[in-house]
Amino acid sequence: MQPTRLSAAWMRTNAIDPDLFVDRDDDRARLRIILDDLRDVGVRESRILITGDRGIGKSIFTRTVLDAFRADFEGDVITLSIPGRQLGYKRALRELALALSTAVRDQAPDDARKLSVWLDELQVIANADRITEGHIEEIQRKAAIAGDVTADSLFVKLRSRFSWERSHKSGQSHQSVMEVTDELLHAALVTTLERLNDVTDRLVIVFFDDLDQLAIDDDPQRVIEAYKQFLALRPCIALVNLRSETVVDDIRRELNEELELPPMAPRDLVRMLQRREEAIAPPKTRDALRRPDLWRPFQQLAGATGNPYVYLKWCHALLRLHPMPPPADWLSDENLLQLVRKASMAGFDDNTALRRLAEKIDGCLLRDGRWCDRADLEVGPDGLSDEAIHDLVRVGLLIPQNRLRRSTEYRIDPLLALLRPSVADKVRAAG
Amino acid sequence: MNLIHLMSLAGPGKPPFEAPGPLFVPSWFSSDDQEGTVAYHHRLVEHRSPRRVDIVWSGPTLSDAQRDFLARLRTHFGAHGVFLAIHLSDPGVLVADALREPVLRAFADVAFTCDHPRPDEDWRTLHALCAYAQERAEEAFAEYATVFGVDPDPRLLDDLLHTAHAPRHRAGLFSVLLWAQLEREPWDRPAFVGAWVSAQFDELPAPTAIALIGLATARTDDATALLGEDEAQRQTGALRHRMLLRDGRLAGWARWLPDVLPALIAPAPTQLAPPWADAVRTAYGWLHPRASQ
Repeated sequence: MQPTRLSAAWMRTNAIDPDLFVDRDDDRARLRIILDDLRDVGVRESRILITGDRGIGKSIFTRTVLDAFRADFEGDVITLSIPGRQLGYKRALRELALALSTAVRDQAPDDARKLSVWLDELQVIANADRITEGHIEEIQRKAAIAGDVTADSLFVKLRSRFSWERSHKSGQSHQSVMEVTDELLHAALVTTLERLNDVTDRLVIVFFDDLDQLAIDDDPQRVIEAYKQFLALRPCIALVNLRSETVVDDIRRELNEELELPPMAPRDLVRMLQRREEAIAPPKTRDALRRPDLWRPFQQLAGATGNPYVYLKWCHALLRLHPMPPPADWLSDENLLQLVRKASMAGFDDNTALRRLAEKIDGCLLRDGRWCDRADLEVGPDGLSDEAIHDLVRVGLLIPQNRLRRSTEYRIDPLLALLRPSVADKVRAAG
Repeated sequence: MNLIHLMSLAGPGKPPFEAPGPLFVPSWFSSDDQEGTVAYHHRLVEHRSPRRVDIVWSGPTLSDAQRDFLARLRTHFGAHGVFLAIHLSDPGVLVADALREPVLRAFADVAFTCDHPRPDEDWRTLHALCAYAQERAEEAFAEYATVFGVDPDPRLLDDLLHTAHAPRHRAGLFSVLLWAQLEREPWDRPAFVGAWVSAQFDELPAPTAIALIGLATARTDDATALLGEDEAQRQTGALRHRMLLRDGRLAGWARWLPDVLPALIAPAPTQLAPPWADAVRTAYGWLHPRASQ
């Protein structure tokens, strides 16, 4: 049969749709047991950490479990998610305050009625840089119109702990103002969670997604302090996603449970691909992929990584590069280089430097694991030059441990792993 | 013929774009490419950050008035309400300094352009934009190929795409391949590469073009004599910064320069402006020895 060009658009490497989720039954059961247990016993406060490598599928995993839990106990839980990606500390607190206010209103309207003024005030704090008497009067006027004159006030609670200053000039008069500092935002969230705990039996679950991608600081200690501040937002059930490499003992001490997502087994990666094929692939591609032999290259690639993101990118590149079945030499050094370049699409054209990088990294990783010392990359006649390292870092193919400071330790973009001799040999051996 | 326009590679129905960080557009991009790249980034995120605000950062830090303005913007429109385009005109401000500025961290979508190169430029988001544009261009290309009944192999572009650092160029290469197919022209790789190199060459400032011609024709000493020692050194740095020179060898699209027919390369009008006009003519003459005699 003639090789056929197949669509690749259905691979969707960045999907977080729970419908596309496969496997991890044991891990799902573990997290579900933890949540069920907390709910059954009536524990309303816990910190649960979900770790794993970047691209391992932490977000889709946590969302899948959380969606199922919420569906099973609809009306009994309030869930909200806060994506940490690229948010500064204060902005993450603001986003969380807005998400909490919205979640209570949407998922627990009866509780929201009891806390109507309170939630309005939380929204004002989330959106403003300073609170004025005008804000308070506005909310009180609204409450009076609604006949809600005995309403609890978040402002009143906070007033006793944060100073008001009569310094802000508004026209000719002066009025009292309270600056919305990080501390005030944090206190507003904690006070709201405490108040919510008083008025509702519902379990409040906050999902902090990609917390390690907060744009906080290049000082590791300050990053850890920020993580701790998020973990101190209670009472609630906090589900926290962090890449494994960012978890340190200081954080572990704050946690009640930890669940590390392992790499996926090759057969599960292929099942993940099949799920996408069934759900999204166009009919012509689905028809063609009925031939079992066309799945062979996908099975071979699955043996080279346990990371679903990396696997999908490679499979996507394979379909973009070759008709199916691919030519017999699709695993030659040259074709693997093309496949990796297609997957990464980075604007770096020096194939020799890429190969040297992969070989050097292979040597380091075979020796001691995750990170490679810069000196190891530079050593020997085939060592990488300072200029090559600089360019590789600039385009993101070589990743320093700390981007804002001069780093001595590096790893490669996992999409380049197929260029590592040990990995390429493994894929060929699986053929 | 621009069959696949960059700006059409965004919008409803397209996959979301996820930036690994703020966008940094290199100083050597032409002003059109600087603006086009920022506009494309904005278009990809405008569903969440609809308003674009441009700020010129001209001193060692943002001014108090700028900080106050940005804080008010954030308060009024929220973190996602505004797309910030920051132009760094002070050569002393490092990318790390800009990224540490708390008031900028309060916004989700930020793009930097600049007048001068920085030693710590981070092109990850630029290349993520290029990759996104390339994927969408490939899809548009496949769609057009079906509609017009042509069957070009997009792999023909692969090595050229790796030398394109602007999203516009990644989409443009697919346009050119498609147009060649529609005209039923046989695939002429040397002509295609020649056209690509020539177009890139046109965008070089005159002294950079002189330095590059010197390297490509093994006349670096002559190029240094034309430029002067200091300028020649600066231009070597500029070529490295553009990733056209690495470890003493031509890189990127410049590595094809010795193979391109000299007739395809001629001085661009901007390169013939004073004070470099004579030097440019001399250097281009090294590419066309017969014409310069």
